[in-house]
Amino acid sequence: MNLDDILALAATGGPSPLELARARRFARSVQSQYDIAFAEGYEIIVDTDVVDPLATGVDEATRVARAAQLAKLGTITWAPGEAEGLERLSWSDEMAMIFGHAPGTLRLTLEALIELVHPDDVRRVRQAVRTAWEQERPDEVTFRVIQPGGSIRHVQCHLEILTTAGEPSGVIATGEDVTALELARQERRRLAIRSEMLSADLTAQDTLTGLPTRSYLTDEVDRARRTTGGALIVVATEPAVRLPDALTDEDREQLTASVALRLRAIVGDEATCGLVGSGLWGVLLTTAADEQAEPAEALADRIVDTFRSHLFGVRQRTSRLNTWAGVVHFNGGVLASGADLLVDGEHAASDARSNGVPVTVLDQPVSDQERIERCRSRVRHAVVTNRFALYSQPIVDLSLNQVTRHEILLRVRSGSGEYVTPWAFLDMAERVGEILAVDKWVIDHALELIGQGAQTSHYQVNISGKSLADPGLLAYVTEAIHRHKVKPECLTFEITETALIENRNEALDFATGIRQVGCGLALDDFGTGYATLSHLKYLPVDLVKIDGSFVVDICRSPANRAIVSNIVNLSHALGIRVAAEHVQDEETIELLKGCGVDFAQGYQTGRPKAIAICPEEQVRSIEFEFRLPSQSALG
Amino acid sequence: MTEVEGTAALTPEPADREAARKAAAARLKAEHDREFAAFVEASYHKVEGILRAECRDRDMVEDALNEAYLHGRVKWSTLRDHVKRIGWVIITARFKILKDQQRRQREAAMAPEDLPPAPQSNIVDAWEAQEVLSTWLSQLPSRQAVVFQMEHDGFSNQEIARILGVTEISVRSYKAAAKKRLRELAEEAGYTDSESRRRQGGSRESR
Repeated sequence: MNLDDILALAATGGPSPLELARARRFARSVQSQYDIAFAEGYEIIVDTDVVDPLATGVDEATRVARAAQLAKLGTITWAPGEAEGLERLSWSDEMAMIFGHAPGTLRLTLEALIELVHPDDVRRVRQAVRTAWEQERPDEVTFRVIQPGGSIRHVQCHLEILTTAGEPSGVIATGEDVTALELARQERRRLAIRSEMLSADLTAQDTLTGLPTRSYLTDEVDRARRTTGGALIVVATEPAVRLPDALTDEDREQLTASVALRLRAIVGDEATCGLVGSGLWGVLLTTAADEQAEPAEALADRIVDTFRSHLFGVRQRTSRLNTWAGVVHFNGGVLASGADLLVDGEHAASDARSNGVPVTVLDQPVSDQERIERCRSRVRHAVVTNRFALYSQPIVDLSLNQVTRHEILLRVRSGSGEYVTPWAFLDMAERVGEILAVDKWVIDHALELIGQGAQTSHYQVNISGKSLADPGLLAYVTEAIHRHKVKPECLTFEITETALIENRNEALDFATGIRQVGCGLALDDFGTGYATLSHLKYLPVDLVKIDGSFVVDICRSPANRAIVSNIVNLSHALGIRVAAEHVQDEETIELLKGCGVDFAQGYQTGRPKAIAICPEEQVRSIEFEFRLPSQSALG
Repeated sequence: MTEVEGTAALTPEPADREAARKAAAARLKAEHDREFAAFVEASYHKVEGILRAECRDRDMVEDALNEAYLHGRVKWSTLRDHVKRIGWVIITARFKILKDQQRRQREAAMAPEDLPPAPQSNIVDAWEAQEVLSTWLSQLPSRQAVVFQMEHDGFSNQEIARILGVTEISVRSYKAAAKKRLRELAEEAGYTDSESRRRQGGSRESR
């Protein structure tokens, strides 16, 4: 069976009895409407001429124009002349008005008409008309018209070929103003793009554990303390025996993920829990949630008991976790902020550890004075006792496919002697204004290590945006560069803007000064922190590091692709190079290359490795540590 | 009024004449009613099919049909003399649809997602053939669809051009384009070989 068979078959059947009945019913209904109008004496106004369309003898152009006029459409008629420039052109009153002219005021010529069409559309319109004429085929064309006042309307025209005595004799365009339709179409297209691009807030979730992040939980605690009040449990975990060095980062991550899973199983869906630091877990209980809910102390006990008795599997081995918890109760409307309460919880957990009890409970937040003092002394103590280590992570130059740079990263020694990522510590240090001391420690020790090495690579050192406010920082850095005999051109300082740049002028002074010394300047975590576009304009930045949250799922997220490629375009236009963080697979690298990103950093190109356990111990030579892992880092 | 009375006085049995006039009018109306009913019955199906080929909004078509036929009834005394009465109804209904669409400022073409799925089974009767045809027509540009539907309903090129207010070259072009696209759609749906040819082939094999 093919189309012709189907058409033939369809033509055989007239209306079915059902349809005939419907037609009869319809006829009766129309008749009765008519009869009612007739009986009640009101006139049904018929606004269409009762002209037999088949009985008129006018030429085609007139006929089409008349039909268009009835339908409130405009027409333009074109007839070719004997020679170029002699063609006849005319438009209907309706069409003149669509073009913004009073009927009869403009003598239409081809030049005049082209003048009225938007310059970007002229070529397309001419092409459409020419093709229609040459191929004797109707067509449709939508274009913009510039009205005398300058306003722009969208017009859609139906192009048709006229015939006179069987010969093509001209073109007639029947058109209407479709601006409203066109705008609606554009809006629909925009909304479709928007809904495709709109993504869930991934930054609120830790990629490894799927738990809310520290900043998300901080916000939640803040919300709770402003409204209902409640309790915050902070659980501190650490392996009971030091994990063997043979364990890779993946193994540690696996352990963290299984702790997260267990925590969620204990807490359930009622409470919000989050990863608030390395080996630090927060659980928020709000008073409003459930009156019958178990008290925070009981839940804390249960978490500690379960964690202590559970055997967590790490690479065919099992490990016990030493666990302590701190509980902070707070009423609705307390002055302590969410971040303060989190720190109190951490301190309470740490007290439990040092006092040898499973859980410490605070009935209310500690005083601001006490908290700040304790935080400050913690930071100072860490600095003085060198509870830090420096790690380095390779950065690949994507145009060379080689590791040409390293970022120097800080690690903090935890209670069990493990070196852990310092974000909870840095967050706290930044909040109590002690970050400068940490930054100075990092600068001094990093430059010392670099100075001892071969200085074959380029090193990137982090400085908090807050520290830039310190007028002495530039002198300190310059002095350290000289003291450790570091080539300044081998250094780039990354400004981490987890907090607002405190003093714009001071920051600018530092940035300008450090550039004069010969070091490079980079903006870290670009796109999520406080770094604004204006920083790109007035800070002498050489490198922008796009925040990892735009990079991790770039292969699946068109929104992230759009953001990354446009940050690249913007930066390159401003003479700034671009690095991408959190690069986790080969596919991402290819995509980043396509976007024009200059540098890639992440687990795919190399994980952070310890440079030295502790500067005093000097167990490994710096030369050894800074050796490039291999020439082709991507292999 | 007095004058009328005077004239009336001259005429014999004015009441009878009045009654006769009324009776004649009633007879005429009854005749027109009959004619009109027959016309509706004969044309409704066709007009509906043509309008639906162009406009996919069933309610809009329904409203337009109602208005066009009602106006047709009002003007029946003129309309009944037309060469092709159905043409006037189609024109009137199309203007009504056009006005509605302009008022609602929405696209004549709706998304093809709203269409019923094409039947996959073999087409056995005229009704099924019409169904599958209308499914395919709804995937064509509306001008092509309506031209094709009208041709299918037996209108000549000239009639189609005049009713739709387009040129005759356009009608020819749209018809060819519609045919081409329908053939593609039929092939996509798996209707590729002619029934007659297949039968022949089958019989040859069995021999």
